Amino acid sequence: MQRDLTLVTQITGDWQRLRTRLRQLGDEIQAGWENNAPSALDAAGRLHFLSLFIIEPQGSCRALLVLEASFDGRCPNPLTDESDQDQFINELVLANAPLLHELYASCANYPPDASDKQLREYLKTWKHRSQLFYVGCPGLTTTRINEDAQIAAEVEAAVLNLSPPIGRRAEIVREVFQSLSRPSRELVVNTPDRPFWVRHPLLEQPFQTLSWYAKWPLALVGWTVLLLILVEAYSPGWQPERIAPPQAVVAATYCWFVFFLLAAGVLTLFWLMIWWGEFPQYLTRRMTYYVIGAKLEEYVCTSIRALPSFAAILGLLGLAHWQWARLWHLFMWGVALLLVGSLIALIVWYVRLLRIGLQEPSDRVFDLRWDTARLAAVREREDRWAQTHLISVTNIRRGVLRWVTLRCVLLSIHWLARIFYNPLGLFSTQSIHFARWTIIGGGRLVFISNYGGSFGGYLGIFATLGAAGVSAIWTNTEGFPRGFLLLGDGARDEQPFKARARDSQVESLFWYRRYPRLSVATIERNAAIRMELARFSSKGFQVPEAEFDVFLRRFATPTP
Amino acid sequence: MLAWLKMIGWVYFAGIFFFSMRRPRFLRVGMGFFRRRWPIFRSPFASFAGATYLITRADDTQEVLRRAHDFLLGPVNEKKILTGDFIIALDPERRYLTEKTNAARALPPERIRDLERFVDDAARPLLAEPIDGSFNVTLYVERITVAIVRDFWGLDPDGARSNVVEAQPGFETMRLWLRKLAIVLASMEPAPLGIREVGLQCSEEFLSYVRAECAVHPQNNQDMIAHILRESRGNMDETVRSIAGLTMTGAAVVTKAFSQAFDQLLNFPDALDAAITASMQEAQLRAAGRIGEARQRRMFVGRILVEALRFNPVFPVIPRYCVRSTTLARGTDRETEIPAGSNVIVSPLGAMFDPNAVIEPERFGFARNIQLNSRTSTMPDWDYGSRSDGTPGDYVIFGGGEHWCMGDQMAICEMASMAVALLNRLCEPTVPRGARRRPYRVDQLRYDNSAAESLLVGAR
Repeated sequence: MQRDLTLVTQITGDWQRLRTRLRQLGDEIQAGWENNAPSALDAAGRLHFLSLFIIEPQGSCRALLVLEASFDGRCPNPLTDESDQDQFINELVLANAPLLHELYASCANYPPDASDKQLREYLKTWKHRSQLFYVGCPGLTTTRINEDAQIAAEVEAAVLNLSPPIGRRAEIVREVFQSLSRPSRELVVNTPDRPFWVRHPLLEQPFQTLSWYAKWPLALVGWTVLLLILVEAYSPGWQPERIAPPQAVVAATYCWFVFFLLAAGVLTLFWLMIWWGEFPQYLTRRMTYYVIGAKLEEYVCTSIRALPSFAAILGLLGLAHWQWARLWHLFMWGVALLLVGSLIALIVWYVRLLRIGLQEPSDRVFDLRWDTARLAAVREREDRWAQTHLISVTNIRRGVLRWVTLRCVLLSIHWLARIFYNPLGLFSTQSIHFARWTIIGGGRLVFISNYGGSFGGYLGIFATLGAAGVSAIWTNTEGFPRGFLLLGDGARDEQPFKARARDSQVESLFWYRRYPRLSVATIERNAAIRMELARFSSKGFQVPEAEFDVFLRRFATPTP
Repeated sequence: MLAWLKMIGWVYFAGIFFFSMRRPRFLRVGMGFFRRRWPIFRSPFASFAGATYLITRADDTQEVLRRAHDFLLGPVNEKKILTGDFIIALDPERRYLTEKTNAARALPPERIRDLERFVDDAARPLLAEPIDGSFNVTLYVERITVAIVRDFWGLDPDGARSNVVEAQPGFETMRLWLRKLAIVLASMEPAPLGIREVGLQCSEEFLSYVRAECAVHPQNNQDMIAHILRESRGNMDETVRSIAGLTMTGAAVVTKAFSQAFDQLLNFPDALDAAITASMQEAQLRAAGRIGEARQRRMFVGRILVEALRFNPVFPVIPRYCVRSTTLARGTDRETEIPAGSNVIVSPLGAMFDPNAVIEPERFGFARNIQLNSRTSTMPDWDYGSRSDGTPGDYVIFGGGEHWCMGDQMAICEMASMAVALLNRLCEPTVPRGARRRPYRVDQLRYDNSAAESLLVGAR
């Protein structure tokens, strides 16, 4: 899973000179993309995006140098006890130490003539936690994105070379798979899984996902309880009293066992009667025995395979008998907690309404400072290749309640975006690679986004599909269009919202990106092509026709 | 546990399926109920058996059948046609068009007259003995269809041997092969109750037999094997698949169609009288050498049988597979979005009793609009159907759209010829100058899974 790194350091030197230098370095790296020139940061293999920018001084706050990066996560190193972010800082220093030395020389507490080791330690002290970090393509590492792009290109060429497509869809896809090079086929067959919340989206398939989550824990509980019941039934008093089920539970489980057995027996009897009535006629004796044997085998094998789940259900029913009172209490506690939580939320909401909601009409909004030169500099690097970088810095409105509300909203969205994973992206924008909201010193909220498409389109979706979420965050900041009870209005006032976003924008000085030509949609498409091929091949190309149709239609080629 | 319940449930479902398919009156009432309440009904068991829609209105049924590129037949029949990819197991793409064109071109222009002759010749020995007790109509039809396989298609059954079906080598083995294969086609997928296992073994035997016969078949013969071999430029694989598929569907469907139509005919005394009268007149006119007028009577018998088939069609429901999300009945209050991967089941039985499309559907009509497949018809006056008027007609017996049955006219011709011969024999007086007899049902129509097995009739 991808991680984020944000380093915020105070600039003690001349920040304007540093900005000029950063802009110069940024221009160089941008020019490099045009010529497909490699960058020193390519050596940091896990790095997706990295940017460096300066937040101008404000009041008593000094200018800040911000380094933000999005990279592939890895397990912490047990030998060095280093966190994932620390390991990444090491890689970053290893990749381009001179750049970092030069930039951080103007920053507070930077040791003079620092060694690489000192630089690493220095950077680690400025880590800043993001309150909300969103990943557009979870589980797709830089290596995977690269592999997927190659495979997709190879598959596309193979599909378009079929002249014209004939036969069944399954035959076409099989032919395409077999025409891939051997390394590509191996990559396809060994496609790694994406995170479980992507594979089992709760939002799209709530029942299947919940049953997927609950299946194994319930089965384990059921088997354990059944084991205890069996031990108690055959050796009463052998188990410690705490875990020994009472005899009443043993008897009840036995009753359930008999009930299930009888039910299965009755079902089987009717099954046999239908068989008797519909058995194929005019068969030779050999064929008759063959059919009977095949069906008996199917019945016995399926029945044996059903035994584990049957045992788990018996165990769970036994548990229900055994711990009925506790389970009931647990349930009641759950309901009580839910009610208390709702009550607290209601009180907070009411207080917020009294304290903030009624004050909202007097909030200062649309207080813009149009600086044409600054805006021109900001817009200069937009719409180059498939991605754009957006940095926005806003002041959080005064008051603890605002601050708490903002933190709660950011925390909620951070987790809800994972739990209810939306394949269309955060707020259905379908274009965000990585986005983060970070609260920094001086009561400021920094929003950094690496997105595909144009500024207008991106903010337009924020103002429509994602208006509630965006308003919940930004109505807590100054100058944002007036909101109504946290979720209402706000970003829905599209033009003032866009103007405010533009006004709060900070120039993206240095921006590194690993795959500048790939949008989120392309990355997801490439990943889907590979995953679908892997799935088809693992199932021997025996999948519903509609799935092949979806696969072939990705290539805008006439399907059968 | 779910797999176990699914295994048991599938056999229960098969039992219910066969039970309802054999009771057209019950099915008709059911389809009528759905047509009135939920013309596009979505099954609530989507998580168990996939999203399934039941279509019962005539216009919606025609729309589904017409839109062959959205509602595919290929994936439905792919696993049911065990003799290999045959036209009705292919999607309408290049290979389908090539093979269908080859088969259609191979049909000789005089095929209808040939078929009439073949049926008459085959019926004669089968009806040689006087019918005193009960007569098995299904067996009679089955034997004639095998004779057609021999005379018209060119597949000689003499060498047929089987280790699967219990029958005399030759004619009887071929009859049971075709029946067992057709049972798979008319069952659910995967076919339960050992149907698939039997079908697979039969298909192996049948295919090897067809392959061996086609390999030594003289290409200058005037039968269908020789025609297809010529049209496909000696493509043995295509010829074997096509012949196996065509004989299997042709023979088995006609057998079931005739058995069910004749069974229904016995329920309508007026229609039966009309059929008997027309059959007798046919025989008299033919004896008098007035062949043209005799054929008119035979065609009328064909019309009566098609109408009888409306009350109990061979396929009361036809499945299709929705390959990509699409909208059905757009612009009406029934407009429904059908998601990709759904099973769409249209009901010809429901459609043919839709009062919005068929006038007085409960009445047995003698002059309804029988539209035939214009692509494969070689006769300008549409011998066994109505003149083409660009509408789908009153019947959904032969499917529709791209997959409209190629052999619709041939099937009606075969049935009419069989009925004329049978009715003339059944109604013959037992003693010279005795009273004419009238057929009656001795025992109800019985089935071997999804195929007709016996319909015992007598005459008194």
